[in-house]
Amino acid sequence: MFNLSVTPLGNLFFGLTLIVFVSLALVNFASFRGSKASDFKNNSSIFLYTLLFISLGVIFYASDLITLFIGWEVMSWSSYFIITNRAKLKTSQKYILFNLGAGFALLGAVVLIYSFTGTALYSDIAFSKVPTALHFPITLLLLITIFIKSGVMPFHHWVVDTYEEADNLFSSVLSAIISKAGIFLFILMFSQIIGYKFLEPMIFDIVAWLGVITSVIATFKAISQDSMKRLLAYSSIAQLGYIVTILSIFSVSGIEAGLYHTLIHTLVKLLLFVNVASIIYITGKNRFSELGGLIYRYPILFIMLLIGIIGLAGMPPLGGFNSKFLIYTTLLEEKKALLLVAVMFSSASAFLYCFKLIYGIYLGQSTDEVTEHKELPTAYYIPQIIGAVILVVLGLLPSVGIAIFNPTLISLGFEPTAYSSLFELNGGFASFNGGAIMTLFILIFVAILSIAFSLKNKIRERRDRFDISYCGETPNPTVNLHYGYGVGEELRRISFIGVILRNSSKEYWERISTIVKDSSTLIKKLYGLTVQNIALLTLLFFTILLFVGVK
Amino acid sequence: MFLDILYMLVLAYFFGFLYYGLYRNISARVHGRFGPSIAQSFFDSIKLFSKENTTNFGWMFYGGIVFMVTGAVMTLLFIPYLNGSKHLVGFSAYGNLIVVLYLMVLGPLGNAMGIGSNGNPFGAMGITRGLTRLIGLELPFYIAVIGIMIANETADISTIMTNQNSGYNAFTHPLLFIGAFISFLGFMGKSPFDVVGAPQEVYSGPATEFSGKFFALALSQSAIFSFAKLLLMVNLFLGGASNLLELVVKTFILFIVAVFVGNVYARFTTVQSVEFLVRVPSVIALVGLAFL
Repeated sequence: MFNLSVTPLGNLFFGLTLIVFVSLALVNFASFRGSKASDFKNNSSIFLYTLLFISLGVIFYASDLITLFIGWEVMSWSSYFIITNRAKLKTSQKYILFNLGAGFALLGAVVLIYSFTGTALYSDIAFSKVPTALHFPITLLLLITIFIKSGVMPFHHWVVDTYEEADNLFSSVLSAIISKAGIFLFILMFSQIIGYKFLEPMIFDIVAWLGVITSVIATFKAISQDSMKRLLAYSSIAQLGYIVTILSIFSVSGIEAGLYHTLIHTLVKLLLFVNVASIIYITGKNRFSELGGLIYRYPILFIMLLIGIIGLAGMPPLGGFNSKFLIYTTLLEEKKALLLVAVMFSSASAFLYCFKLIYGIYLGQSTDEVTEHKELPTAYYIPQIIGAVILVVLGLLPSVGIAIFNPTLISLGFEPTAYSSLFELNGGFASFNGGAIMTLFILIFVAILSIAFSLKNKIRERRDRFDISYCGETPNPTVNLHYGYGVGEELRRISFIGVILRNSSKEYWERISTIVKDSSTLIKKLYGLTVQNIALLTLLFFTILLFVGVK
Repeated sequence: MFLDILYMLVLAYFFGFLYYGLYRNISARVHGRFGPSIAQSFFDSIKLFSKENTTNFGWMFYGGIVFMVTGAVMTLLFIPYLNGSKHLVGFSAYGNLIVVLYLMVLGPLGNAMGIGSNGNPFGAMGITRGLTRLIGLELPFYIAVIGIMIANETADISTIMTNQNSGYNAFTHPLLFIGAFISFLGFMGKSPFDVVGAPQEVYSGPATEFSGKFFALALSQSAIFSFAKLLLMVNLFLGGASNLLELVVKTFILFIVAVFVGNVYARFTTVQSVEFLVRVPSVIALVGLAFL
C-alpha cells in the first residue's frame, strides 16, 4: 500500500532529519540517565517523536501522492500532540488549525491531479493530461500548503507562538526540519511532478516577492522581540522566505542555492535553538531583559552561539556565506536586481537581531546575580558541536555542498554543477575560494594576536563589573547596566519600520475567524442539527452523488 | 607575495593616518583654529601602542578587538590597489565584490563582541546605533553596487576597473554614484552620520572602554578600514588608478569631499539618518538602477 522509494532528494532531506533527530535523541538520553521509569511524565512523547520521525521518512521517501499525504497528516498530528505537552491550548489549536488547512489544501491538489492523470505514482503522473484551466488552482493549493508549513506571510501566524511555547528542544525540530517539509514539497511538486513548463511564470514572480517581503518584515519583527525563542522564530520565517524566493527562480543555480540555504538553515537553527534551550534550562529565563553577562560562566556556549550567528548572518569565513553567495549570484545572473536589493537589505538588517541574540544573553552586564543555575547536561553540547563543525567545514570546503546536491540535481533533470576544487565555490556569475578565506582569516588573526601580545604593556584586569567608565560616576547595583532590552528599540521610531512593527496579521486572521463563526452560526440557524435535517442532508448528498455518477 | 601584502598594509596604514591627520587639521581650519599638526595622529598611535596602562575586560574583549582588526585587514587584502597591475593585488583573485561587501561587516562584528563583553552600556548603545544606521547605509550602497555588477556583468573588482578605461562609472551611471557616495559618507563615520560615537550622548559609544594598546589597535583598524573604503569607491566608480600617485589623488578627492560635508552638516539622529538614507540616496540609486 505504501509506495516508498529511495531518491537523492529524499536522501538529502532525510539526512538532515537524521542529523536533527539523532543529536536531539542523545540530549534526551542524557537527561533520562539516572532517572526512574516513574519519573517519565511524558512517556507518550517518546512514542510521538518516533512517529514524527517515521512520518518525515515517509514524506521524504514517498513515491506516490497518497503516501505523501498520509505522511504529511501523521507529521502534523504527531507534532501537534508533542506541542500540546507544553503549549497553551489556544496555541496548539492554532497550530493544528493551520496545519489541517495545509493538509486539506494538499489533499485537494492530490485529488485533482489523481482524477485527471488516473495515477498517484510520481513516475506515472503526466501533468499534461490535466486541463489548463486547473493548472492555476492546483498550483495555488500546493502553494498554500507550502506557505503554511514554511511560515511564509500571510500564513505565518501560527509559527511564532508555537515555536515559543513548544518544548525548548522541540522548537529546534520545528524550525530545523519540520519547516523544511514545505521546502521539500516545493521542489518535489514544481520541479519533478508538475514540471515548471506547466507553471505560469508570473505566479512565481509573485511567490518570489512574497518570500522576500516575508523575510524583510520578519527580520524587523525579530529585532523587536524580547523573548529569545520568539526572535529565533521570526528569524526562521525570514530565512525560509529567502529559500522560497530563490526556489521560485527555477534555474539549476536557484535550486542549488535553495538547497544550500536549506542545509545551512537546518544546521544553524539546530545550533541556535539548542543553545537557547541550554540557557533556558540553566537559568529558567527566556527574556533578554532578564539575562546578560553569561559569557565568562559559559564560554563554550558563547562560542557556539557566536559560530551560529556568524552562520545565520551569512558572513565569511563560515558556511553560512556560501548559501548567501549562491542566492546573490543566482539573482544577479537572472538580472532580478530589485529582488536582490530586497534580499540584501533584509540580510543586512539581520545583523541587528544577531547582535541582540548574542549581546542579550552572553554579553553586557548580568541582570541577576542571585538566582542559582542548574548544571547543564553535557549532551546539550552535542547538537551544537555537530552544527558548528559542519558550518566550519563548509566554510573551508564550500563545494562539499555542491557535491552533496549534484545527485539531487541530476535526478530532477538538471545538469550537475562542475567544480574544480572543493575549496572553491562557483556561483556562475562569480566564484570565491572558501579555503583561502578561512586560511587567511586564521593566519591574520594569529598574526595580529601575536603582535598584540608582544606589546609589553601592563595589563590591568578590571576589578568587578562596575569598574567601567560611566560619565565620571561609579554605577551602583540598582542601575540597570544591561542594554539587552534596548537593542532595536529605536527602530519603532523609524517611520517605515514602525508601521511594520505596529501591525500584525493577527487582526486579519481574527476577522477571518469572525466571518467563519458568523456564517456557521447562520447556517446552524437555518439547518440546526436535528435528526430530520441530517436525514434530509444525507438524502440530498446521495441524490447529488447519483446525478454526478449518472452523468 | 608576502612583500606585496606588506606594502599594501603599510600604505593603507600610512595613508589612513595621514588622512586622519588632515581631517583634524582641515576641520580645525574650517572652525577657525590652527589644529594639531598632520603628523599628530602618527604620534598618537605610537604613544598609545607603548602606553603603560591598559585595561582588559576578559578574553572576549581582547579577542574582539583582534577580530576587528582582522576584519579590516581581510577587507583590504581582497581589494586590488591598481588598475591592470600585477602588484598590490593581495588576495583579490580568491574573492570578489560580494566577498568584500561581507568582509566589511566582519570587523564591526568583532568590534561588537569586544565592546559587548566589557559591560559598558554606552558601548552597547553605540553598537546598536551603528547597526541600526547600517540598515539605512547598506540600502543605497547595495543598490548602487548591484547596478554596477549587473552593468558590468561581473562581480570581479579588477574587471570592473578595467571596464572603466573608456569612461568612469561615476559618469556613465551618475545616479548610482550619487547614491553610493552619500552612503559612503556614512560609512566613513563623519558628520552628519556620526551618531555612533556621539560624545555628548553616549560617552564616545563603542570606544568608551578602549585604552592603551587596545585603543591603538582600534585606531589602526579605523585608519586601515577607512583607506579600504576609499579604495573600494575609487575602484568601483572612479576607474581605479594606474599608479600610486593617481590613487592618492583620487582617494584624497573623495576624502576631502567627505571632510567638507562633515564640517557643513550637523549630526543626524539614528532615526533621521536611516530615514534620510532610505528616502534620498536609495531613491536616487533606484532611479539609476531603472536606467541601466
